[in-house]
Amino acid sequence: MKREVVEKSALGVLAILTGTGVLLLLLILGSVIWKGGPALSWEFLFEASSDFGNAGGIYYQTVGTLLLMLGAALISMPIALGTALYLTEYTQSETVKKVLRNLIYSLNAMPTILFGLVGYLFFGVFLNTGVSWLTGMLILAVMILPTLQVSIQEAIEGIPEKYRETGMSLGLDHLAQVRSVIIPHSWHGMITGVLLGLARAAGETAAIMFTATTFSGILLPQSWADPVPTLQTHILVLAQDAVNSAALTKAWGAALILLFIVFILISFSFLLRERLKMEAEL
Amino acid sequence: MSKIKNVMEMDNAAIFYNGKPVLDKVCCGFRVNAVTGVVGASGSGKTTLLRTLSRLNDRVGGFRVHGQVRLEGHEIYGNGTDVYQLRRRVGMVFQKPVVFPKSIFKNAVFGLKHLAPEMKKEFPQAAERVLREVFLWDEVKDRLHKPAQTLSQGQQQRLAIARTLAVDPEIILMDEPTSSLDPKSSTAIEELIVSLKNRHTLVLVTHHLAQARRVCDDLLFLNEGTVWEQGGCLEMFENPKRKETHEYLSRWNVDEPAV
Amino acid sequence: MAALSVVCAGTIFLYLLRESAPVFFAEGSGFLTRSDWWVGESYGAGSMIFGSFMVTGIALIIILPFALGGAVFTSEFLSPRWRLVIKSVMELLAGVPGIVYGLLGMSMLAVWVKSGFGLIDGNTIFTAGLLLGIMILPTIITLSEDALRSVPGEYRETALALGLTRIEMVWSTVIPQAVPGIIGAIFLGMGRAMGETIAVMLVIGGLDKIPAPWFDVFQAGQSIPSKLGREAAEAIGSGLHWNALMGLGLTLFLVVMTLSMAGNMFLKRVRM
Ligand SMILES: Nc1ncnc2c1ncn2[C@@H]1O[C@H](COP(=O)(O)OP(=O)(O)O)[C@@H](O)[C@H]1O
Ligand SMILES: [Mg+2]
Repeated sequence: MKREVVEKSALGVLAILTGTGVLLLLLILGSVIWKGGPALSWEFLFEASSDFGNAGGIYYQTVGTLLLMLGAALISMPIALGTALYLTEYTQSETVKKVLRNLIYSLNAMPTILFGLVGYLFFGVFLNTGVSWLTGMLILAVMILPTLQVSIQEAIEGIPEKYRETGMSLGLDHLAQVRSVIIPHSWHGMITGVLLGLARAAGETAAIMFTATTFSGILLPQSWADPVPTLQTHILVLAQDAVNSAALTKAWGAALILLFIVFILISFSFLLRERLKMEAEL
Repeated sequence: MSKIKNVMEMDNAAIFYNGKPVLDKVCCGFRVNAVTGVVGASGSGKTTLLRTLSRLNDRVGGFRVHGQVRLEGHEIYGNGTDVYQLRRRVGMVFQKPVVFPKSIFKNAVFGLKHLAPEMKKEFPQAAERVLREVFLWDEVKDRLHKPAQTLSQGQQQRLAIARTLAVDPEIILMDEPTSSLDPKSSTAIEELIVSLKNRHTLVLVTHHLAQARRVCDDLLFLNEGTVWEQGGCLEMFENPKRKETHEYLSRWNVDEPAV
Repeated sequence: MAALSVVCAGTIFLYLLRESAPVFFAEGSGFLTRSDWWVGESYGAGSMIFGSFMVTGIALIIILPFALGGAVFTSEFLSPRWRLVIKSVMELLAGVPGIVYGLLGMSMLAVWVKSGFGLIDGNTIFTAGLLLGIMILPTIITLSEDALRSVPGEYRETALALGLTRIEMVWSTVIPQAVPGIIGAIFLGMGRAMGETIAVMLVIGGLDKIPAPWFDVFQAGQSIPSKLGREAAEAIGSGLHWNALMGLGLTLFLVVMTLSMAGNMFLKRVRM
């Protein structure tokens, strides 16, 4: 009898503790929508900001965020793919594998502000790219590399051995094997990785705030060497300097858009994974 | 069996996984344009033998070959062997049918696409030729561009054989190609094997002794990692030199495949 | 092997070391122990180091019951369908940008803390710790849940066959085996918390001071990343101030890398 009571109450407590996580998500979503919703309008989405963010929209900030994250993913993808292929297909050396894996883990754990600092000194100063769009992309590309790489590698490692062996038995060389067996059977990992990497890049502020962005002035970058405005830094500046509630509402509106972008990307990665699971069960 | 006629042979070969010998003192040969059956209990090393012949174990860590394995007199584990060329010349068909999640047509020309990309225009004819060779053409000619997974297991195995034929191997190794198929599909594959003899040399691993008796010209009996006996197929069934061979082969007319 | 990973992260390490060397020559070990940071005069990082550990500690204390309870419930008592729901929720939560957490923390959490505890200012070490706790919840839940799931099912069945209730079974067989994985998850969560910049920066108050008494967490403070975030832009290339910030970066780097390496060792790292 007593054991039953213990069991029941323990389960109750655990359920409540678990429910908190779900509640948190709802609370966050709810707050951002509630506070940012009033800012939304056609003009907000498609007009430039003015009066130091107190008026106008966030069009160029959104474009800047998209530019940075897409550029980062474009740069990161071939490197991630190359690393994953090298680790799974080309090297037998356990030492090399271990070293590379550890490097990837270290990168993944690195505080993003350090990417900002070291990245700025390396790209911005040493390679002379300055405070610019290019610097931001490069820094973010390194930052999201682990996300892409791990996703691609898991997909490659998940390829059934029978497909590789069949390719081998037909006399395909390494390159042909990669082109016809490995890549066609792991593209979903690439897409998932890219989606999650894009989401990570979109949500990052510390790494780009003093390396790639400006608050106002520039609308669209005219060259690689120009900084861009972004949603992240826009929110940061408004949040820190807001003197009136109108500016804070604009910050919430920008936060809503940013959250929307990130959640869309993550949700697509869910969909992709679920679809693949269904295919795998066929 | 005169030596010259052996397309492939093993000379005092020993094969190891992680230092543990799986096959030892193997001497055997495979006659040109003949079907050589490889029989023996599970774990006796039949799959290992086949994989050794086309160097499919190169990626397996701890795999070693001592002694000689020759293709038309050339050592295949020596320096300077083009392993991709070797695998093209020595094709392999696996136990479970493997088709790629692509169309039937793309599966048939999968190897060709890489080995002879310049022939792209002739792929449709090539596909038709090999699909006819495996007696699949009439069944699939109207749905060449449908996914290959929609075929039955027996059809998939024939498609796999067609895909191997398309790269024109001299030798085709088959590892229990009918063991996951129903009797009707098995018969179709057996007929196919016999018909392939004209142009290819075949090595067939099978647990199905009646099948071995029907289609094989020569027989190789493996027992616990050594070649116990090798010779003409019928002769070994009727007049085995060793008692153990007799014990193993005598059950051929029991309907179930021997295990 | 662990040594090799040090070599890997070595490039960044060497860079930080080179850039921060002058401040260590100028301040000696006082850089780590004193807490007087007056730009142009002296650089003692004590209060930021204290603040970093403090917010991380608070985050852990607050969030561990939720994270571990959630992981156990999700892994042991939920249907596959609901597990997927919780896992997806965690993935979404992990994706919420730091700046959004910062905005929420600044304009809601800090206000609640202020009125709830009757403070003059809601931007405190406690607020930062609480916010960080929420931010690292997904990391700890997800990784601990994986650790629990990787305990083979036979153990569960054996325990149930002996007549244990499900809770008893989980407590006596599953959790003990998952402990290394859970510790790993906690270490990685701590690394995350220690390195978070933006959200902390907006709610910690930004005061380079160790509270008196030190455990009064309802005062403003400073963490290493928050300090870096505030001052790096203006200090780039400006002598000792810059070197001192790089010294902070180096300290942060070493602490976070140690945590992550320890975490990965406990997790026997199969996945991220
Ligand atoms: N990759 C491998 N690593 C280690 N041992 C192996 C490997 N493949 C097969 N073996 C061992 O080699 C022996 C022969 O296996 P196999 O060639 O598959 O036999 P058969 O096909 O006749 O059933 C078995 O004892 C098996 O355990
Ligand atoms: Mg076998």
